[in-house]
Amino acid sequence: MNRIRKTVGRCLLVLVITVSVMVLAISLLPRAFGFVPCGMHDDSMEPMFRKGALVLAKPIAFDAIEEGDVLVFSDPNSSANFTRVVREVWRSEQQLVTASASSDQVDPKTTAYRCVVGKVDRSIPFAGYPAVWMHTLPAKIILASLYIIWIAVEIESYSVSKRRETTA
Amino acid sequence: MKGKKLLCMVLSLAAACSLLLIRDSAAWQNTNTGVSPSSLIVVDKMAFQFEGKLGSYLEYPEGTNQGDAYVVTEQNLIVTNGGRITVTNHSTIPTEARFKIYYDTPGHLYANNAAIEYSGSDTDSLSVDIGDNWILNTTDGYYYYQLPTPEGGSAPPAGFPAVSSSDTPTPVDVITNLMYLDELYVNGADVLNHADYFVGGDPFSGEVHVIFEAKQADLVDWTQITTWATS
Repeated sequence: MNRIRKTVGRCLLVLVITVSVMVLAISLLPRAFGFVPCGMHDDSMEPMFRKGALVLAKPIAFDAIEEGDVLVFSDPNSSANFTRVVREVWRSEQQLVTASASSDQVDPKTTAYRCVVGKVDRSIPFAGYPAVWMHTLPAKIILASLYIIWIAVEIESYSVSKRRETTA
Repeated sequence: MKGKKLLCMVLSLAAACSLLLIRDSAAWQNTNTGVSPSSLIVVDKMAFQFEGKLGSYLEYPEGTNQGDAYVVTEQNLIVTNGGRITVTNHSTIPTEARFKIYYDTPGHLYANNAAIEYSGSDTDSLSVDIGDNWILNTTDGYYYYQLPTPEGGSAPPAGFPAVSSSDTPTPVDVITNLMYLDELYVNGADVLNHADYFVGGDPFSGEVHVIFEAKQADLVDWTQITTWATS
């Protein structure tokens, strides 16, 4: 029984370490190459990017923006992010007329260039799901609870082993 | 084993935190940094967004047709945007702006701008609240936008300063209230019958027009950007 427990424990450890390294690689490696990673929260950009895709955006100068470019924007008031297709570029006003990928109807308002995070350079299907999930409140609560329980279990098992040593 | 557990805990926590560094892209957000594409008026390099429009307050007495209309006095004729006309400058180079108000009264027919120019005098039949920093030029009857001189500083150039990419343009009041007064004047004489809003027994349909013009250089002509009129 002990052997089974130890084996399962080792497997779990290896799994957690492997997954953690992969997640760290997805989160941090793009930044090392100048990309800004962004997870697609919904299907507003289908069929271009499915929900859950991870898009990598690179900063772009205003003069380089052209119609048809897919850009990631950040709302300066709420820090919310959104990805849209550029339909028109108003050069003198530095405004961008945008729309979703699936519709020709433009968004109700233009967006100023200063909200642009970058131009989408590439995307990885499904790789954005962990990040999208992590931004939700239930995810944060679940993870925080798991860590608290884990730490509590480790502290308890450490105390138990200490007491055994003392008794011995 | 303890070292591995600690490594596992730290790595997984770091991984979870790193996920928060990935942006979460949702549906379109109204950033308040843009304009409605249909409401922005662009002429050359001048760009303005206007809110507010003139309506009409006409009452049709029971039994009469729409031709026999009475203008309703003492009511703001700006019917949207909280009763004010505003302009937001989006021009990326300095732009001068001005506007003029024309209206008619009994005995005047509005045609080809041949109506009365509002000048804020005691004999005007309109009462108009003009927004801040619009200065009347009594020579030509236009209200010009001019920012005030800062204390201890020099007078800024006339008109709107250029908007840069880091600015958030804000609306400027043009007119905050516009209404016909109970007293209507023709040639300086009070001709309104207050009780019935008639003039000499004839019904009166008032018209007000506001013309907004702009230009970006000293030597070019003024360009009409937009107009408002009571319907």
